[in-house]
Amino acid sequence: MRLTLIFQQAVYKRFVTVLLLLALTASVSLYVYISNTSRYTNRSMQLIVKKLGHNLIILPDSTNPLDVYWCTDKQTLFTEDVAVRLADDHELASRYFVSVLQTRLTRNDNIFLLTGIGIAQRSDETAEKGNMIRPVRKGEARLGAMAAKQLRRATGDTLQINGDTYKIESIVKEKGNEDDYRIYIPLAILQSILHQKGQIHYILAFLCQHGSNVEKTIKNETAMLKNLVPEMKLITKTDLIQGRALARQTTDRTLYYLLGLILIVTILIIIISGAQEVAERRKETGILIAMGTGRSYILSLYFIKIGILALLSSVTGFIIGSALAVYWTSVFLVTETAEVAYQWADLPKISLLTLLTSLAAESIPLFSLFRSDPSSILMEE
Amino acid sequence: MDELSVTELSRLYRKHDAVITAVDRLNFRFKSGEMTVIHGSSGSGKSTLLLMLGGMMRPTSGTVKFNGEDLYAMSGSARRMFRNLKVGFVFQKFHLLPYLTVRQNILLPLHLPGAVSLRKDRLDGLLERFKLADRLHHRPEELSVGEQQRVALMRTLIKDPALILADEPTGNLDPDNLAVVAQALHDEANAGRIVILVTHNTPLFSIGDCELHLNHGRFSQS
Repeated sequence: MRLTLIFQQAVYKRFVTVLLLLALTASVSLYVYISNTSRYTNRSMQLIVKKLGHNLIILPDSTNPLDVYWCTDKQTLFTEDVAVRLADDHELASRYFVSVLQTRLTRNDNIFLLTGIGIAQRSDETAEKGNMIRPVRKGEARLGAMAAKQLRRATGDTLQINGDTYKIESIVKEKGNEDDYRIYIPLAILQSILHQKGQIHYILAFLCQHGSNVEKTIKNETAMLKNLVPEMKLITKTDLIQGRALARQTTDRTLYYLLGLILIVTILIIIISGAQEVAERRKETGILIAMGTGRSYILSLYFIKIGILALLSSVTGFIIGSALAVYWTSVFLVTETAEVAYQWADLPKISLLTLLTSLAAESIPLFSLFRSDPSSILMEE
Repeated sequence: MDELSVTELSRLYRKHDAVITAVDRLNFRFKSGEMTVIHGSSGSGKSTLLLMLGGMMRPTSGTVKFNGEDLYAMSGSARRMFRNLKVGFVFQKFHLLPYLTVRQNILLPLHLPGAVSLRKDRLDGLLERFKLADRLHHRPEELSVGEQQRVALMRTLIKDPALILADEPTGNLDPDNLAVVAQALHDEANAGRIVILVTHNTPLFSIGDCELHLNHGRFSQS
């Protein structure tokens, strides 16, 4: 009978029921849309910042970083196994490791940095993001902007190094730093040229922030690295890490404020419609109590009804909000992320949130019903 | 034989600083098989008395006993069960649920938690008696005022209550429907129930077995 009462009342007041369902659905849709959009905007923004390059340099404790920056003969060698060990440890916040071996190369009075690069990939690195430095294939070379200019080479040309011919696969855009003077070749080739098999000078890495505190993330990472490879040290490009953290914080905060607003509007809608319904059904409350029902039974009529509406609207709202995100969000993202998709794993969380919000909001007008005196209701004639 | 008795029953209301005495130290016994008509001017305490008799309103002092058991010494759930199983209220404004059909309204008390089960022939008997068999699937708004009151009466009678408390049940009715309702209440008293009718309607004052005039919360027997 309880469900009959709920269903018949909802059908009798169908206009109000449908309006409430639509309002709840609109709120959930907006919530899901903004939430999904924020997720992909955040991702996109992180990729944009990531394009600025690696933000960590890992090198031996004994090395003077200046020797690495200036590519002097005093650079310290260490085995490239270190990069593999780092890539195998998924507890680290860093990833996108690149093993680097470098040496100076002089041509026509110009100095270049002959750089061997090898990628040490973590198994959880996604194809969507990928390493900022692409590997160089055997027989090919990649030139920095100034190197290409001074060597008068373009993509597709060839270059002789140590008696071997390399095809120029691409020219890196000008960065305004020493990378512009690099000639990139595969790591194994340079190791062979320098007779330094399995040796490298430093590792480039990218620190992904865990939590909201940049300093704490760096401190943790340094401690973990020290534990894993005690002979190595970490040099951070803190401004890059911070820039990424701030970008992430901005989108997160925007999301929280917008979702807070949606939550307030939803709660107000339920309170207003609930208060109106309680007022309209006062006599019904009186007669049901006169017939011997308890307040809990009467309250359950309201709670079950709003609960059903909340669950229905959470599912429809989830589908509508997700569809909007799928069709609209990807259009305006300047950096493409993984394909914007339905986040079905979020549905139970959204349903629970909608249900709890609706029940909490409904309990406010029902509080007055709970406190009302049924005998006084029946005497209002 | 059921009996409903009130002893030194009083109910006071506080409004701001004033204390209003709605029912003032009443003593009376209502017996099954009898119909008692209570009348009095507005504000004389009729509705307050009826609600106290039905276990809906706690008195300020005094007792209401049904077959010797004090209603207000019972737990809340026991009093709910008492109302559920023993009491049938009839109101002037019917209080039918607008979204239920006639059939659903009539059967509502039987579907509430703890209710008695329906004797199969009871609904048919009531439908025949109140001539509403062809209106079973209509909503209250589709019925005349008289028909609505008959539905309210059937909703009260369906659970076979020992005590019927009718608060101005004929207040909105034309003479024909008034006669139907009055006769029905009389018949229920003759069937062995305690029927207490509160009314303003002068022609009904004398239809009961006992007529009580309530004035400023005190009885005067006519």
